[in-house]
Amino acid sequence: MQVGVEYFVGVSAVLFGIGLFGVFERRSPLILLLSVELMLNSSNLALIAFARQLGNGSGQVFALIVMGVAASEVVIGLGLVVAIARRKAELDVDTLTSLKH
Amino acid sequence: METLAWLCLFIPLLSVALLTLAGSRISREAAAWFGTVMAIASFLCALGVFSGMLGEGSSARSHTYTLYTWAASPTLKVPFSILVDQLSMTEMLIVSGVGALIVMYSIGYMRGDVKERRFFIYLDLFVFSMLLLVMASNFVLLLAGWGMVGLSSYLLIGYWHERPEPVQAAKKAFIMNAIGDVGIAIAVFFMARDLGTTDFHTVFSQAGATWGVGTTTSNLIALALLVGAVAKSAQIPLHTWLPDAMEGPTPVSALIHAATMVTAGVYLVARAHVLFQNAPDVHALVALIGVATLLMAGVIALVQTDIKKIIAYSTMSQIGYMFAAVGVSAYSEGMFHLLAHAFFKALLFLGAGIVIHALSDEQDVRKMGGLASAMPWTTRMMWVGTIALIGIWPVSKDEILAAAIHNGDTTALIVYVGGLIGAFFTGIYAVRLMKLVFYGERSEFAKEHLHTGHGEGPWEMMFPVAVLAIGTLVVGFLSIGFGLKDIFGDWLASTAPTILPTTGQDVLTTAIAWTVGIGAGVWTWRLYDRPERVAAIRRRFEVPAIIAERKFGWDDLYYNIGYRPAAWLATFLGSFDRWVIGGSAWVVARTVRLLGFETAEAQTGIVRQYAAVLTLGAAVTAVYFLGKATL
Repeated sequence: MQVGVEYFVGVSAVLFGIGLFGVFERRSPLILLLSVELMLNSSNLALIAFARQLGNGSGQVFALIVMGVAASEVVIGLGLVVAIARRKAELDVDTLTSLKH
Repeated sequence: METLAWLCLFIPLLSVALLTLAGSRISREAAAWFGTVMAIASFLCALGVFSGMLGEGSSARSHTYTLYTWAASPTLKVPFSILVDQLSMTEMLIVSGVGALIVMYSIGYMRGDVKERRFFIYLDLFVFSMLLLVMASNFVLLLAGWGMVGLSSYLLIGYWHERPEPVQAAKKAFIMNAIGDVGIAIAVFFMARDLGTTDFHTVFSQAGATWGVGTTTSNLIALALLVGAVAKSAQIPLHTWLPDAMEGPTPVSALIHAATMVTAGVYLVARAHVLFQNAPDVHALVALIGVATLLMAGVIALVQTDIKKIIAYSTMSQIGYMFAAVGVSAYSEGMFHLLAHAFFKALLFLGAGIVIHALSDEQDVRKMGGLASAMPWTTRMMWVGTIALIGIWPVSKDEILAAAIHNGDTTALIVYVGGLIGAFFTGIYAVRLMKLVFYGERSEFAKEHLHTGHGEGPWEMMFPVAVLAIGTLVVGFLSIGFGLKDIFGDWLASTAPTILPTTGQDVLTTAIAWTVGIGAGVWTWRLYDRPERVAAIRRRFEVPAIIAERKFGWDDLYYNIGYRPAAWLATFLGSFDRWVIGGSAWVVARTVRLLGFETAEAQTGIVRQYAAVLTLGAAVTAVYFLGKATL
C-alpha cells in the first residue's frame, strides 16, 4: 500500500511547528539550536516526500545538502554556545543582546 | 653631414636624459660642466654641418633628412624629419653657439644654488627644444618644438619657485604662449585639410595655387601663424609676459628671452614668407605690429629702473624692428638683425648679470653707479653691446630702414619713420643704462655691497661675455651695407629673400639713423650729469611718463577683461558647487543618515524577535503566493 504524499507533508508540518514553537518559547541557546535542527529536518522530510512523488532525485540531493549545512551550523552554533557559557554563567538568548545597533 | 645634423639635435636631449638619471649621484659642479660640454658638442656638430654646407653650391644647400614616420593617417602623414638649409643653419649656429656660451656662464652665475643640476637640465632641454623648432621640416614638428620651448621657458622662469613672483610670471608666460600655440595649430589644420601635408617645401610650393592671393583662407592662415609669432616674440598685444619673465635667472633671460626663443616669431615669418606674401594685408599687419611694439617698448624702457627690465623692453623693441623688417619683405635684413641681436643682447644681459652678481643680486639701477672703475672689463664689453644696440655697429638696424625706404609703399614708410623715432629712444635708454650703472658718483649701496676681492667675476662668466663681445664686432662684417658685399644676404638669398637698397638710400638712412642715435646718446649722457634737469624733464612730461610707467595699461587691461571676469566666474561656479551641488549632496546624505538611525532601532539584538519577524515575513509571503495560485 502506497502512503500518500499528504501524510508526509503533514508530519513535516507538525515537526516544523514544534521546532518553531521551540524557537519562540525557549530561552536556552542550546534548545534553540535543537529546535532549528528539528525545522531543518522537517523540511528534509518534505523534500524527500516530494522527490519520491515526482520520481525525481534532485529533492534527495537537496536534502543531503541541507544535512551538510545543518551539521556545519551545529558545529558553529555549539561552539558559540560553549564560548558564551565560558564568559557568562547565564545562557539566556533574551539577555544576549550585545549585537544590537 | 646627416649624422652630424642629427647629433646636433639630439646631443642636448641626451644630456637631459643622462643628467636626470644621474640625479644627485654626481656633484653639482660635474653636472654643470657636463651640461656645458654637451652644449658645446652640439655647437661643434652644427659647425661641422656648416662647413659641409659651405663646400656645396649655393643651390644645393637645402637638405631634408627623415628619421621615421612620426604620425600617419590616411589623409595626413607627418615624418620626423629635419630641414637643413641656410636659414635653419643660421639659427642652429645661433642657438647652439650662444646657448653653449650661456650654459657655460651659468656655471659661475648659479654656483651655490642648491638646485643647480635641475637648472642645467632645463637649459639643455631648452637648447634641444629650440633646435627642434628651427630644424623641423614640417609645421607639426615645428609646433612640437614651439610648444617645448614654451615649456622650458616656463620651467626656467619659475626656477626660483620659492618666491611667488617667478611662479606668477611663469604661468603668465605659459598662458600667453599657449595662445600662440593654438594659432599655429589652426594654421596646421588648414594645411592638413587642403593639402594633406605640412611639409615646408610642399606647402610653400602649393600655397599659391591652392589658396590664392589675398583670399580669406590665405589671410586666415597667415593670421593664425602671426598669432603664434606675436605670442612667442612678445609683440603687441601678447607682449606682457616678457618683462615679467625677468624673474628668472639672468642667463635664462639672456638665452631664452633675448637671444633665441623670443626671436622665433621672426624666424617663423621668414620661413613661411610665401604664406605671408599670399596675404598682403596680414603681411602689412606684421610690419605695423612691429612698429607699434618698437615704439611702445622704447618709451617704456625710458622709465624703467630695474636693469633687467630696461634690457627686456629693449629686447621687445628690437624684435619690433625685426617684425617691421620681415613685414616689409626685408627677410634677410630681419634675420641679420636677429643674428646681431642674439650676440649683443646676450652680451648686455650677461654683462648686467655680472653687475647683479657683484652687487649681491641688486637690480635697481638707482642703487648702482660709478662701477666703471671697479669693473673696467665689464664696462668695456657693455659699451660694445650698447654701440650695437644703438645701431652704430653692426649696422643691422639701419639696413632694415634702408630696405624699408627702398620698398617704398605706405607700410614701409611708416616703418621708416617709426624706426627712426625708435632709434632716438634706443639711444636714450641705452646710454641712460650705461650712465646710471657705470658712471657718476658711486652710490652708498654700491660702496657697501660691491665685492672687490676676487676680480669682476669668475672666469666662467667673463669668458662667454668676452666671446660675445668679439662676436658682436665680427658679425658686423657679414653685412655692412653701403653697397658693399652682403655676405649674409647672399648666404640666405635662396631661403629668405633680401631687398637691396641703392647705395644712396643706404648711406642717407644710415647717416640719419646714426645722427639720431648718437645725438640722443650724447644728449642723454650730458643730461644725466645734472639730475635736476632729469627731474625737470620728468615734470614736463608728467602724463606720458606715468603712462609709460604703467606700461601703457596693458596689464591693467588684461587684468580687467581677462582676469577679473574669469575670477568672478570662478567664484560664482565655486559658490554654485558649494551651495547647490554640495548642498543637494548634503541633503541626500542627511536623509539617508536619519533614515538609517531610525531603522537601526529595529536591531534589538533579541534573537527571538528576529525569529518572529522572519516567520511573519515567510508566512505573509506564503499566504500571498498561495492566494495567487488559487485565484
